[in-house]
Amino acid sequence: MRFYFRYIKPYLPFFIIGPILMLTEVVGEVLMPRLMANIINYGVTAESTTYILQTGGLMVLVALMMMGGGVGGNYFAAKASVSFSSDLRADLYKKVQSFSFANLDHFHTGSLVTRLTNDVTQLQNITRMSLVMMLRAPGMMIGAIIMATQINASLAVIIGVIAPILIVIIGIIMKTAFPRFMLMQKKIDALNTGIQENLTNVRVIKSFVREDFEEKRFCDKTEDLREKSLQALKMMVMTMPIMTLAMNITTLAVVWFGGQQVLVGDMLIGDLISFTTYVVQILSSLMMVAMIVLQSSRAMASSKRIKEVMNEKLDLTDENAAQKDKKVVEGKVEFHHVNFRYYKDHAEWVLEDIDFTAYPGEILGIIGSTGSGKSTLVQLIPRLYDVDEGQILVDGVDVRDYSLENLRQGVGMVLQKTCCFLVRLRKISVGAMRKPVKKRFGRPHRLRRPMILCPGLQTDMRPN
Amino acid sequence: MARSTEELLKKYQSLGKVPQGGRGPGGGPGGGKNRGAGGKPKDTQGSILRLLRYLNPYKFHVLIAFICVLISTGATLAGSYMLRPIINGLVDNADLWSLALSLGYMAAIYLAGVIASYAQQRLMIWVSQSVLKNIRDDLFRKLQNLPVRYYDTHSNGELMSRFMNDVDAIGEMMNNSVIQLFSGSITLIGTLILMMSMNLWLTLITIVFVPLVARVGGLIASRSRRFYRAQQAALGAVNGYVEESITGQKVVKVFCHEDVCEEEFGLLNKDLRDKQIKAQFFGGLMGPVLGNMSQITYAITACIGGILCVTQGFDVGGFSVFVNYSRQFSRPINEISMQVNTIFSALAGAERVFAVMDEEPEAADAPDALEVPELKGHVQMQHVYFGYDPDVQILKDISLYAKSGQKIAFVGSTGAGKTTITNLLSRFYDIQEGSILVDGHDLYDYKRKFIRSHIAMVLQDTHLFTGTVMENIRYGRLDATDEEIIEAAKSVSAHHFIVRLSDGYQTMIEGDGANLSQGQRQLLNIARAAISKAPILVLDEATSSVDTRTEKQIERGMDALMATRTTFVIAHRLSTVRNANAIMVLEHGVIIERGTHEELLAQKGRYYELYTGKAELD
Repeated sequence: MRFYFRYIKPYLPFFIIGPILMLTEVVGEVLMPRLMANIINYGVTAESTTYILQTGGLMVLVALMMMGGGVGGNYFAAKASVSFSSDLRADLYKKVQSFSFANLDHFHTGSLVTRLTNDVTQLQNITRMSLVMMLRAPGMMIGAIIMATQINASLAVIIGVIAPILIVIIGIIMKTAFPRFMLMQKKIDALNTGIQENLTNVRVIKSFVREDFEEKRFCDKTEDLREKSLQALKMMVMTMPIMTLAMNITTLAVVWFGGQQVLVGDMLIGDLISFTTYVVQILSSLMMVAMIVLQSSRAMASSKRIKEVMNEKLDLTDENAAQKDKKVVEGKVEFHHVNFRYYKDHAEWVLEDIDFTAYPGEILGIIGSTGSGKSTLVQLIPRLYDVDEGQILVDGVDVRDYSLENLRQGVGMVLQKTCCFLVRLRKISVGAMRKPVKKRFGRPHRLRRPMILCPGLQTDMRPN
Repeated sequence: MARSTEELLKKYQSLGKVPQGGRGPGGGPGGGKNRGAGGKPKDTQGSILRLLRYLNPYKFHVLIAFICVLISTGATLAGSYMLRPIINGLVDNADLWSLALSLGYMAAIYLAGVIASYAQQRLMIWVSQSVLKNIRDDLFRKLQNLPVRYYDTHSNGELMSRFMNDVDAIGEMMNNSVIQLFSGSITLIGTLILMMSMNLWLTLITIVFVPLVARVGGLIASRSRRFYRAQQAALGAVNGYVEESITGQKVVKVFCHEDVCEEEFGLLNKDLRDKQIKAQFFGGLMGPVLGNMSQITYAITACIGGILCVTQGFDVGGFSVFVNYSRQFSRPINEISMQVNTIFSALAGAERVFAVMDEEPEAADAPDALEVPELKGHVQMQHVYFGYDPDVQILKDISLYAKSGQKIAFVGSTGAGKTTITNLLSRFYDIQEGSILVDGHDLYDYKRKFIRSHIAMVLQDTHLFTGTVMENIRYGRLDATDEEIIEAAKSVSAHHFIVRLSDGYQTMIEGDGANLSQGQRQLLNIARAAISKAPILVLDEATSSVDTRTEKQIERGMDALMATRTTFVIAHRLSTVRNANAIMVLEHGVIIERGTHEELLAQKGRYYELYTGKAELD
């Protein structure tokens, strides 16, 4: 919660006014049955039309007030939750922009995308829901309980007995249902992956004539999903009938005990009628609380995933760079006894004791078998990763002493796995080069070999 | 450097997928329910009929479920009506016994209602989940029979959305909407009848409010729909932008593009925020406005009803029950209007699903299509012409003859038509002119699946399935034993790296083999083809990411394999094709040179230029 406060702070007034306005709606809702009871007790029984008209007019006023409160509360809740999530999303995006390659490797691309899209939306939804419901559900429950107790404390005992039982039962249902829903979600994910694979691999499937095999596999998956969904939904469909049952039992008990009191003259008939309305209010606000709890457990997972991104430690910055203004001019590259590995807990070095100097005007070819570390080596030059031991100098200056921008602008490179953007990436000016390379990469994603192209030449990379 | 908001919106709207969670929170009636699927159905009747056909096997379940709805809705109405005599009895000082009796009736009615409502829900989730499974299976089955052209012209995202969003929308309709529509209508009619039977004048007051409620509700709904659509579009753009830029984040970094990205994202994000506030506000408006309008109705009915009690002798029990009914009167109306939206968007989804099911499948084999006991693999192409688009010819006048045991290579620049030849051979696309003969018979005389099962392919784009390494190789021949698989892996030099994986052959491959290098994925693809016993082998850039030393090993390992097969090799790297029996140099869809490596070098033509570095393949 502390983590999110800085996103809430600029909109704090909205966050406060919204729920307060919602509270007016609650007050009205609790007052209405009471006023109705008064009409019966003092208007109808006393045969006073003026009283009825007065109270009726009051009821209309209350209803109008409720409408105002509801609309206003809804407006502030929407404004607060959207602004909050919008700022959060922008900050997340900023954070990801500052990630180093190692940070990026830490998260899967797909998962980063989900965190920025789905998870933020989840949080927005729960924020809005809590702003609308936060005070409403408990407020209605408390208000209704107060009214009910005021009307008839002995009847309120019935609610006191049934409500805890209901809470326990619903708690049990949700506790059983929740893991089942998680399992169901897993099956949905598995199904999605299956379809996705099937679509991308369509040529493989067709060329090996595996259509029937795939169908069988798919049917197994859908059957699995069907079973798991049924198991989860089976629990959930119990809640509404149980809820209704609880309300019915309470109503019956209230009418039975209350009726006896009415018969002996201890209770007014209007009070009994409004009491039954409060029963419904109390028990359904219980249900609302349960729904919020269920929702927020989903949002908790999202929140955790968002915090992971925000709290990810940047392992590569240029804050301590000694020569921030230095630019790469000549393009001399020196490796001094460089050791490197991707993960600190791996025993083996990916690169071990690399030591060479490449002078401007030279072409340095790096060859080696698949997985031998060629790409890793060149990725160290623009500081996409930091060396673990040793040192890399460009133009005689440690790469860690350049500002990242100046360094990377001085080292042009084409990655092995290229991707295309919707725009022309702009003319990429690339660094020191001797052999005139002037070609257009017709299909960038086909280009497999990394090339560190050096200054002096323009390469036009046009995504197709 | 950064682009304008309009430009960004236009570009990224179509790209972004709006996630399921994207719809407004409990967006209330109208607005929120319009999920990304949305759209208006065109052939409503046809879609309904086809959906009914899916329900057919479960018609008894559905029938019982509907009866249950009748019982539970009736019980709710009757239960609250029972309060009338009870209250009147209490007013008239009736005895305890009759109170107990009335409560007993009420309890019985309530109990029946609860049981019926539970039974109905259990039945319906069973029916809807089963129907969903059947629709998914049918859709999938259909996809397996669609021609490759369909996949090449439709994006995966689009097809995924059929499976997820559209089928889900249908599921939601089956689960809730239909039942709620039914129970809402019954409640509405039942309430109306009961109200009229109690007091006609009071009923009229309630009914007077209905058009007003409907009008206000409609206004809000149309507004909120409009803003909701704008929000979804903006959300789509944000998601699309995130997806693209994060996927290419490493490129962004290498080119120091972060600031521009941040700026552009900021623009989109701000646009989303403005639209979202409106959409969320209007989406949430329905609840408080309509809810409180019925509170007003309630107040007015209470007022007039009370006066009627005093002046006309309306009974107190009837009065209190009536007031409750009138308060709840707008609920079924709301519910129905809400469900109508869901149902429409589900029907639109169903229509899209059925449209895929109605796509033209791969043409059926002729009844007398060939299936020969043993295919040797002689391939002959005679004056073949082909273009993906009939007006643009990709291949022109291709003729060649490949005998079993021969290795035929294609070289040429990107787009010369090398891969297209393999597409024709495996009948992914049909030729327009000329003929292809396999073992002397026309390719199109064979059964399609027969011919495909006799061609093993290693494709340009390496794709793997979720599963173990072993399973991925076995995909080439399902009855291959573990020993055969290891043997095949050894022959293509894949064994070496496989055993070094964390679980060897049992290592799980996930996410298309993200945990393997490009070269390793290619090796697995080759192993998959090697395990197959197909007499025709097609290697399309199969070793492009493998280093030349390993490539040599693979070649040696596969020599034995190729001795009895016809092999087609497509390669960029000329060293790969050196020892081919014949090398075809393709340019703009025409074979411009053919011969062995030595012959082509002697010709001093295009191949010679390429080989000696005077020209380059781009």
